This record gives sequence, structure tokens and C-alpha cells, in this order.
Amino acid sequence: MASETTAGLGGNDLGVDLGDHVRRIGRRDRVATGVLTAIVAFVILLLASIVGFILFKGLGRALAPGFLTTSPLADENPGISSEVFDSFYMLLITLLISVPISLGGAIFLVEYAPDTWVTKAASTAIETLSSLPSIVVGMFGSLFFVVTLGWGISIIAGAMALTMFNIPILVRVIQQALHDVPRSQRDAALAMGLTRWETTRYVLLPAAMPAIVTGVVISAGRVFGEAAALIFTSGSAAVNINFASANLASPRNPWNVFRPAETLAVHIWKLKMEPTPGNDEIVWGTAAVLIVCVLLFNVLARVLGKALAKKMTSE
Amino acid sequence: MAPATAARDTLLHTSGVTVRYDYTHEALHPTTLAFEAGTVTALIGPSGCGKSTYLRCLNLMNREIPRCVVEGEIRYHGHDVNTPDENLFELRKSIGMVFQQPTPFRKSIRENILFAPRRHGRIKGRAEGDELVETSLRQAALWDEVKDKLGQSGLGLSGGQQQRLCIARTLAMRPDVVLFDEPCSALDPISTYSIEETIRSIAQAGICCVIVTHNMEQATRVSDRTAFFYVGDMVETGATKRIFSAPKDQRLADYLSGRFG
Amino acid sequence: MAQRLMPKKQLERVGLTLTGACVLLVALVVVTLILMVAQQGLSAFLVDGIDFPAFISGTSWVPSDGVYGALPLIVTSFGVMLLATIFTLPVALGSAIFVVEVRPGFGRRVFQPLVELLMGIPSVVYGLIGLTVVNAAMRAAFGEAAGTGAGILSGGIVLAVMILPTVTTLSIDGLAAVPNEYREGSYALGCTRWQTVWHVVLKSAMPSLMTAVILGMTRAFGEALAVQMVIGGVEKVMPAGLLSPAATLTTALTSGFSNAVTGSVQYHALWALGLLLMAMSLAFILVIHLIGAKGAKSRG
Repeated sequence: MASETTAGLGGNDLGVDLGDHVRRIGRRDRVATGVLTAIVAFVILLLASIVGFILFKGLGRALAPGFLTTSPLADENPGISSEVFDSFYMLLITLLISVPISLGGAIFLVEYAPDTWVTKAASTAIETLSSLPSIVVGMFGSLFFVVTLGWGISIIAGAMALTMFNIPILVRVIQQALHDVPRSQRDAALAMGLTRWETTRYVLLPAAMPAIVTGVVISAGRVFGEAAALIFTSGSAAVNINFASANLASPRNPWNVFRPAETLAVHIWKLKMEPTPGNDEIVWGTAAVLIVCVLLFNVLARVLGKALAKKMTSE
Repeated sequence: MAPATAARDTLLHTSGVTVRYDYTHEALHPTTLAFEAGTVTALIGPSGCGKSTYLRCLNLMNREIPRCVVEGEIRYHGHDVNTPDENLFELRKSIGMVFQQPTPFRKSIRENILFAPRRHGRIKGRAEGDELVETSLRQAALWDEVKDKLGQSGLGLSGGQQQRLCIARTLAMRPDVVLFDEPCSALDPISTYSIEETIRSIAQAGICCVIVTHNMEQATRVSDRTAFFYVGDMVETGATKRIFSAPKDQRLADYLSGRFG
Repeated sequence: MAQRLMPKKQLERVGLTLTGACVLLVALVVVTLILMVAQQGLSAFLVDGIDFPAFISGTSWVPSDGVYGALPLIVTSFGVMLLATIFTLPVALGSAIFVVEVRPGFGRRVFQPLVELLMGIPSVVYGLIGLTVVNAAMRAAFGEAAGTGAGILSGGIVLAVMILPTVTTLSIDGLAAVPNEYREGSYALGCTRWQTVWHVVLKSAMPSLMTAVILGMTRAFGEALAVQMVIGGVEKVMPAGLLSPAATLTTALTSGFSNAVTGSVQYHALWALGLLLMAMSLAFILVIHLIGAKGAKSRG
């Protein structure tokens, strides 16, 4: 394009063939764009083939009748019923603990103590937590929750480890969402003699809700797939849950938080590290179930966030 | 509320009020001014002169800014409110504020008005709420435009309507002072006109209005008294007519003739 | 309801206390964690008498025989981290440039959600694919030399895919934060897009790009299960090359921690590895802060 108009500038007193220079940088520009396009195509292809490969290998087994509803310890055609239940149950408990704490923490950092040494110290602590390897968090959990507090290898110990893993993600999401509410909304509420607490509770949180919900659901997807922090805290042995059990203290009662549990992700790791004949199909089936859940969390996050935002602006 | 015995008409009186940001930078030098019930006072001056900073002292909004220090005496009904244990929340119930940008909450028009009174425990039933919504909206000259859509979002209104909703919301608190921080700077001329009308009628109802504006015509149209600020100093104050016709200070004269600002 | 409201001053104190308690709780947990890891890890040296220089320079790790030489683990950890970074960097940077500079609309609507999805894929799934696909590819590419296919190179490749979304997302944020005036200024001088990106945008986004890379490295260094599944788990000798099976700090912990008896020398030695991991991630954070401080300084 530019090369045609400037081609006539060939001989100038700088002694440089400008036309040639323009052609060269133009060519370099096109080559660079081509390489970048190829890289992006590669990334998309990579994602597609990862998801596609898992579904291809595992979907057959995942959809087989009874796979989702048979106990992992069944003699014939073992399924993953305990793992599915444990994964969702542990996620639920984790969110019940981590969402309120993260909300409180983020509100304190943004609304009550912006820009003080407390905020800086707390932010550093949260940043530290987010960068710690999850295996270290798992080791700490196994020492502190399992041994020191005496909870044993249990759902609650696992949920606490996951909470530590989840809090930094959530605090950051909520902080950002609160920051994005215009300052004027805050001032207007405070100027009417309302407390920061009321301002946050009735004005800022409703306005920030779509972003917070999206963040929570996306973080739920992460928690759902986390395994390293769980191996030492909630265990890696398949559990034979008795869904009919009414005894809350029984290690087979599904709702007993002090019983060991095995999530889908841990199940995959366990079966793959201790392979036995016929396991392979179960592993891929479990992986397919896991990835479908994670995909659903992602879609759900977006749909929920959009729906909430739409509802709020229209009402 | 303390009985107004100190001065019959003077609601707010500041003496030697200073504001420092970041603990050190003095953005407002000692300022002494008095505001009377039923009058409109305009605070004018070039940008960054301290007029908004001063306005935000009157309801102690500067306390919401980290590392901002307000010193001096701010007497409201004769009682100094610039003390550490003053109940900010009580104070702001009776000194309302309207901001530069219209700031309706993401709630219905009705809820925008009832939100704060309800949080202050003032609404006892549906009928009382309905009545408060209607009188407040009528005072802000918005009732006729929105009476059929009180359940709709306040964000669906035009800019001028949103600003009048914010005024109505402030009036619903039954304040005796209302502070306006450049309330028309984001609005078109027609909306500006109707807001000015509203301010006049509020003042006639006996409320003390203080308005920050960079628009000198607005100051002459709407205010009884004017105070001129320049680089953190309150330079001159007096009746609006006198200020604009016979300025005493050279800086004010320069400002009025458009030499800066 | 109207009469039951709490006085405002009291309500504000309640709010402050409640939210402050959340922050305090988190801070307390972090401090407890750091202290406990340090205490357990240090007791390997202070109580059990393991010689620290010997610990980090010893070339064999056989906890069951009381041989604690962590060097192979340390070297492998750094090895896979660096490999992952080298593999990821061009792809992450390239796609970030494409998304921000070439096709912003496509980037926001399609590419970024996809990358976020990639970030959500659980690490065991990456490990599973690595074990099946990457290790097979290694056998196909290098034949006998690759053995089972498990090794440092496989670990590096799997980690590269895992940290790709982190580095890409943060790089996109970094590039997008470069003010548009810079680009317009460059275009106004007649520069092509590529010249603008190379000489103007990348240069001014450098601190945030470095932060992106370091956060990716942090994640690679601390990842456990996916690496464990593909790296072979050989702890007792120094890795001979990129294809040799090995073990990292994290994989040694994953496979050894469950079997160690609480309070034993072996248990403490494993905590010492945990302490090393924690020290590394604290060091990474420190570097990020230094970059941030330097960036803030150079911007004035």
C-alpha cells in the first residue's frame, strides 16, 4: 500500500534506497502478522485437541449406564458415584467457608482501610498465599487440620485446604468488583448518613454482584479440579458411601464431614499412579466427567454474570 | 438536634477552617463563612481553588478521604461538629449533598428515595413511604414525569431527571441544609434551568442551600450571597449583586472579567 | 422493623470488626502456615542433625535409607521450570500481541474466554494427557534414548501448556495497559504495526511482561501432580539429560509424604523440601515487588 506512493523516492540525498526500505519493513510487518496468526491458531487448536481428546477417550465410558451411579468399590463395572458426590460436597463446603471470609476480607481492604499499612500487610499475606504451591498447602493442612486440630483425614480438612487455595482468588475478584463501582455511588450513600456497612451491603455489593458471581463460579471450577492439596488432607482412597445411612457419625454416611473422601481429580491421579488392568477406561471416563463439569462451570459463570447484569440495569 | 439559640437564622458557621491533604498540603487556608436558612449561597472560583474542598467540610465528607485533615470550627445550630466524636451519621441526616454526576442507585425510583430514610428507621408503613416519595419528587419537580413508573430503575431516566431524583432523594431526608457540588456541570441547558428552579424553590421552603459552581451566570441567577475562592483562600464574600457589580478585591475583578479561570 | 435499627456508630463498629476479623483470620493462617512449615523444615537440620550444605549439595535422595541429598530434585525443579518458560514465552507473547494489537475484538470475545477455559482445566487432566500423548511422542521422536518417554523434557512440555494461560492472560493485561497515545504517536511517525509493537509497545510493557513470566514460573515451580505423572520419579541420582527420568521437589513430596511417619527424620526432611518450595515462592513474590517498584520509579 504505502510502498507504491513512496517508491518514487528511490534516490534521495540520504543515500538510502527509501523505496526498498519501505518494501522491506512492509514485508517484515506482514511476516510478523502471519507468525502471530499462526501462534494464535496453534493455541486454539491446542485447547480444542485437549478437550476433544479427553471427550473422545472418555465420553463413551462416562455415558455408560451406571457409571455415575455405581460405587467405585463395586466388583463389577465400578463407577464413580462416591467421587462425583464428594467433589460437589467438598466444593459446597469450601464455598460456604471461603466466600464469606473473602467477602469480609475484600470489603475491609477496599472500604474500611484503603491505603494503610494494614491493607499492605494483608495484601502481601494474601499474595503469599496465592503463590504457595498447593502441595505445600496440602502438607500444612495435613499437619494443622488433620493432626494438630485432630480432624483426621476428612472432608472438612480437605475443604479447609481448598479454602486456603481459594481465598486469594476470591479476595482479588471481589476487590476488583468493588473497585469498579463508581466512587460517586459510595459518596452518595455516605452523604445520606449511612454507614460504610450499609453502603457496602445495600449499594456496592448489589452493583458488584454480577462480577462477584462470575468470579465465584470460575473459582469453583478451579477448586473442583484441585487435587494436590487434597491427597494429604481428605485422602486418596475410594470411599464406599452408603447413601441410605442415617448415622451422621458413620464413615459411610455421605454428609459426615469427618469421613475421608476422594474427589474426581484425586481419583484420576490415584488410578493412574497405581495402574491395574481395566483401570484405564475408568480413568478416561472420570477425566471426561471432570472436564465436562469444568466446562459447565465456565459457561455457567458467564451466563449467570450476564443475566444478573441485565436484570439489574433493566429493573 | 441542638436548639437553634446561638443565632436565629445562621444554620452553619465555619471559622478558621483549613483542609490538608496527605497531612501536609494545605488545600484550604483558614476560611470563615456563615450560611443562613432560606438563602442560596454560591461558592465560585477557578478550578482547584478550594471551593469543593470547602463544601465537603460542611458535612464532614472530607473525613472519607484517607490522610485528609480538617481543622477549625464548624458550627451547626451553634454546636461545633468538627470533633472526633461527632456523630457523622446524625449530622448527614440533616445536611444533604448533591453531587456533580447524577448518582442514582441501581434501584427503582421509589427505592432510591426510600432507601436512606428506611435505613434511618423513619418509614413506618407503606402509606408513609408513598407520601414521602410523592412530596419529595414534587419538591424536586420530578413527580409529574415519573409518577407512572416509580417501580422502574432510576438509571433509566435522562441525566437531568437523574439529578432531580438525587435532589428528591436528598430532600426525603428532610434536611435543613443541602450542599450542591457543581450539580449542573454534566447537564444540558434545559436540565440546568430546571435544577436552578428547584434550588430556588427549596430555598423558599426555608432550607439553607450552598452551591459550588464554575458558572458565573448560574451564580447570579440562583444565589443570594456569593463567596469567591482563589488558590485555597476565601477572598471575598457578600451579596451576590454586590459581588458581581462592585468587586473589591483585584483577583475577583480579574476573575469576573475573564482574565483567568 | 423501623424501631429495631442498630445505632449507626455501633453498626459501623460491628462492620469494621466483622470484616477486620476476616482479614485477621487470613493473615493469621498465612503466618501460622509460614511458621509451621519453617519449624518442621528447620527441625530436619536443627533437631535431626542433617547437615544443611550436604542436604542441598547431596546428589542422591533415598529417604528410606536415610540419604538426603536434595540436589537432583532442586536441579530438576529449576530445569522443568526453565524449559516450560522457554516453550511458553514465545507462544504466550505472540498470542498476546495478536489479541491486543492485531484483532482486539476477536481477542476479547473469543480468545480470552478460551484461554480462561484452558486455565480451568485441572492439573491431573494435563498429567493424564501428558502421560498418554507427550510420553508417547517422546518415544516416537527419540526412540530408545527416551526410555518410557517419562523425563524432564516431558515435564517441561506439560508444564509449558499449563502455565500458558497464566502468562498469556497477564501479558494481554500488560500490553492492553500501554496507553494508546504511544501507538498513535508511533503510527503518526509512519511506523508499521510491527515496528510499533517491537519498539514502542513491548518496551513500555516490559515490567508487566516480566511479572507475567515470573508468575508463570512460580506456578511451574510449584505444580505437583501433573509433573509427577510424566517425569518418571527417579530421585536417587542426578538427571543425566533432558530425556532422563527424574523427580522435582514437588514430586518427591507427593510420592513420599504419605508414607513418612509424623515426627520422623524422613518426615522432617520432606518438610525441608517444602520449606525450600515456600522460600522459592516468597523469593518470586519479592522479585515481582522489586519489578513493580522499579517500574513505578521509572514512570516517575
